[in-house]
Amino acid sequence: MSGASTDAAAGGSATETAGASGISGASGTGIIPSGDPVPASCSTPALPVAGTRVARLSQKQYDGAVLALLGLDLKLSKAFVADPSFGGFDNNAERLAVVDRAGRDFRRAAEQAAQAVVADAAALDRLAPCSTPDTLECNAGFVQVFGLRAFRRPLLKTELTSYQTLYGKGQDLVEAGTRHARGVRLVVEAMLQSPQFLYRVEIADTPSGNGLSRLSGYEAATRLAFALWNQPPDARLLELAASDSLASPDALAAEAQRLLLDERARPVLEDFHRQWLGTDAFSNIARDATLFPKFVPGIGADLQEEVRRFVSDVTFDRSLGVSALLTDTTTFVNANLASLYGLSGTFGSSFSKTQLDGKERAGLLTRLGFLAQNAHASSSAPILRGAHILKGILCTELPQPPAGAAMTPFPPFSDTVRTGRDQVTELTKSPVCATCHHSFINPLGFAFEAFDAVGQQRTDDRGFPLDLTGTLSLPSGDLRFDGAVDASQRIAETNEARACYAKNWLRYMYARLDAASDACTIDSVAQKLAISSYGTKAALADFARTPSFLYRPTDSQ
Amino acid sequence: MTNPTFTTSRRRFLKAAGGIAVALPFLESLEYRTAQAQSSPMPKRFVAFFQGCGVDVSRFWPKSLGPISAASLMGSALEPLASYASRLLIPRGIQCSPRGFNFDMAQNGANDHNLGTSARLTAAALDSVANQHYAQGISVDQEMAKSINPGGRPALTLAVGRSMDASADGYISYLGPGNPAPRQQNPWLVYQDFMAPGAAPGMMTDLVLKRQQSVLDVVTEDFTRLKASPRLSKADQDKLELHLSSIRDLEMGMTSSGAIACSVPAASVTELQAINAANVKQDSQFPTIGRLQMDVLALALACGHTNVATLMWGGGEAGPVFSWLGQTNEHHLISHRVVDYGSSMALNGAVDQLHAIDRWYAAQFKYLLDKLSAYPEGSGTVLTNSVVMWCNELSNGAVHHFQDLPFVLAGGAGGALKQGQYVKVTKNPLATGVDAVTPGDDAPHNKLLTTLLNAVGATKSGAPYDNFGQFGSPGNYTELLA
Repeated sequence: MSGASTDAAAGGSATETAGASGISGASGTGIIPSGDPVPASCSTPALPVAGTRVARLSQKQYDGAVLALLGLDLKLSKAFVADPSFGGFDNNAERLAVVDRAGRDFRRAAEQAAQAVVADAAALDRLAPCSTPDTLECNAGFVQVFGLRAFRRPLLKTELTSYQTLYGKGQDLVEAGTRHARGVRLVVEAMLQSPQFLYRVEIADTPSGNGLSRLSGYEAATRLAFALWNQPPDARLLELAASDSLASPDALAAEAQRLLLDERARPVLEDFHRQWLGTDAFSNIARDATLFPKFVPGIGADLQEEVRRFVSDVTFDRSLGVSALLTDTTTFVNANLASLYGLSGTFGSSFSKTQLDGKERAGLLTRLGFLAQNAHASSSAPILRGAHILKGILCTELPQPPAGAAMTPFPPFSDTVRTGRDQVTELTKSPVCATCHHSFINPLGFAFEAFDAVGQQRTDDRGFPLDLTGTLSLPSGDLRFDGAVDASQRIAETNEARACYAKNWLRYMYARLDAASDACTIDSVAQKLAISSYGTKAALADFARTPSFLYRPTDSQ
Repeated sequence: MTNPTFTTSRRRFLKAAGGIAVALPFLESLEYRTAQAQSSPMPKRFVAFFQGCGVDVSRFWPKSLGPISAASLMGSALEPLASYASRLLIPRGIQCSPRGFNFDMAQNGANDHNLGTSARLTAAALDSVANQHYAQGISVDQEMAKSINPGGRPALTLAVGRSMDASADGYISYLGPGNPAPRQQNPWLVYQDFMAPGAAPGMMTDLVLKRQQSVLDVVTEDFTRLKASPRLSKADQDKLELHLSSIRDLEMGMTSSGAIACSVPAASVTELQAINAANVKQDSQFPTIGRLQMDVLALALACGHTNVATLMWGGGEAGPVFSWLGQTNEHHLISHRVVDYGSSMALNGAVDQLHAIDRWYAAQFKYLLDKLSAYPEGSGTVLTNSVVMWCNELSNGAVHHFQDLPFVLAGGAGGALKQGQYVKVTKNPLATGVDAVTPGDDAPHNKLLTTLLNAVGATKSGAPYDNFGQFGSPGNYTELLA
């Protein structure tokens, strides 16, 4: 560990910044196991990246903020024009902007939210209690308290005045309700359209030496809460911010531990995996109904639900990580899925927890959704499965196939080309194809040939025996495997898989693409993910502990 | 050139409406049919009508080069456009720039569908960020919008059906390098975005507008205060300004070209309101949502909400399944003429199915032309002052071909472009036959985009365009100019 040089580079006093990559073993008695600190050989310290100072909330964060502020789960973003994904995720702070229609989407949503909260007497009372109507107390009190929560910092005097004046106009501008309700409605409608609400504003950092500036307590609290909850800071975080108690990476990591144990972290873990694994595409899978009668219309939603529950169980409830995601046999099925899995027992339309046969299936790569997504309409697709694992799970850069490769027809079946494996081998035998296919794509895909186009188990291919063996060449060494369970376990043990998982999480949690200066952070978390007790939540707490999270580069003058 | 436009602000509307609760009677007086507006030069407009997966190249084109007539379209995929024969302009022999099959090293790992989609309106290379492969350049519609749209408002970007939203296959319009413009999939929400006060029951009453204005005033103060922070970069300030401009329409006013008010007939409002937002991307809704998108799009052009728009149908590597044509396979599968991607078994009748799809798109294109020509403007119609371009990611989809791309233009952009002509722009002899594609490197499509920019009067720093995009060649296709 190159602690000394990194401390110098990462700046500040030793009490303010963590060593090396900023990652150390979780200190103390946090309930999230972190394992022993693993020394990382860092040549590049994890310096923060200069980024936008106005990061627009993602659509999930918008919904989360409305829920947290108003106590109503309105999910208004369903009517928003969808944001493009960047680097695989739809929350990229640099890229998210409000262009044309999106501004009116936010206006419509603010109007609907404000109307909904005053129409609900209980919600209004929770949001803006008012015992003596028509007093300044009800007006000023509400504006101040709600303003702090919505803007994630105390309101400026000028803001207080503007919003109190607006409250007073409610009487004339809102058609019905008590004077208080009308005022509240107008203030909520406006604050939810303010840039102070719609963006994570970071303009209050102060230089802490060595080229780094520390975020204000409120800004750090806001980063942390939106990263781990997709929600604004809660009361405790706002109190810590007010007393400047979020001034060190360790303080942030400690709060990260608290947030990660809270139920509000669950949807964030689910959302990450939804995007990383691309499970939305499950709803577009269409298969030949005569060949696969059990793959009923609308089953895409069931496939998504299985994965959602599985990742939630593994990473949130059991605090495990990527290794378990790739190898665990727990799953959640309804009757539709149980029938495809060939499970005995009684299943209905609702989901229940069960175990898959560990000899046939392991983690995510052996689940129906992944297998069916990476298949053709009537047959399995070793090339698609292999390529998906290489690119998505191992973050391997594959070169572009030669021109026309995708349109080359498969060779017809014959005495020598008897199985799908034979077809793919024959198709890719020329040297230009073999470079990628024979050492990388094909062997991985072949390991999953015991599953058909909808992920059902099979014991032969067109009556011929299956060959599920293969060798994959990775920088960390050759992986030899026989079958999907074996391959999943071997993949789970690679540093490539752990580093890929860490890299994707870094992109999601930091709401930006990874930079060269993140290499050490990714490497360090990847190494710790090898420890079975060090799960996703422990990794996220470590990501909250890096200088990248609490600091910005000091502006050059 | 700026278009003299006639503006009424919602604020002015508020003044006019005074204390009257529901202001429907006022709408008549807010239609801007003034002599002044009618005598002004008309705005020029551009629409890109995009589909994926290529066409049946053997039956797509008119019978012979030269004047287009109903007879020359007979039997081709363009037959449904017979009544517009004299309004069409069909350039032939144009190839994608950058070229496909990675000839120009512009794909960065992206496939041919990604390229055909991303490059069609950008003529740019693709990026390699996390397999998303977005275009590394602005698209022609957004470039035009900067100079010919009121206030430089971005082009309207509509989409029909499902696509791969997280990748290059999902977007044709780019606000800048690597920055795809969002897909607007729900015509009811699109309509709400620019409809005139009172255009839908219970919405946009004078009280609502007054409230929105008071809210906007406070929100604008917040924007102004934040933008004043010396910590913000120019990019961050621009981002906030872009946001503020998107809601300032209350202040700036809905800008009307003078032709009509921004409202559709009551029956259409009912149909728009009945849209189930959860279903808009489903294959079964494809024809209905497509038609409603075109209704709203034509209105948005006619009433001056925008002068530039794109309409993206389906996408490469995807659907829909044209079940209303009696088909059971995805468009992409049919274009490859196989029963399954994992099979070499031919799909019986695939070429006929492909031709049926081409004809269906021709009929949709005609519907859009019908809508545009139903709005009178000056001595002609909105179509007279527009150019509508039907374009495709590929030519022969079966082999992902990037040469001899199908482009069908209609409208003429207010006299700028030839009309009723089928023009060969490549020097190479035209190929014929089932899978034949006219080869050649002499007619890059970026030059067509340059031609269109100039045809609609778009300018950069006051000057016409010379060479749009990152690949291809400079200049205009003068053979297409009137």
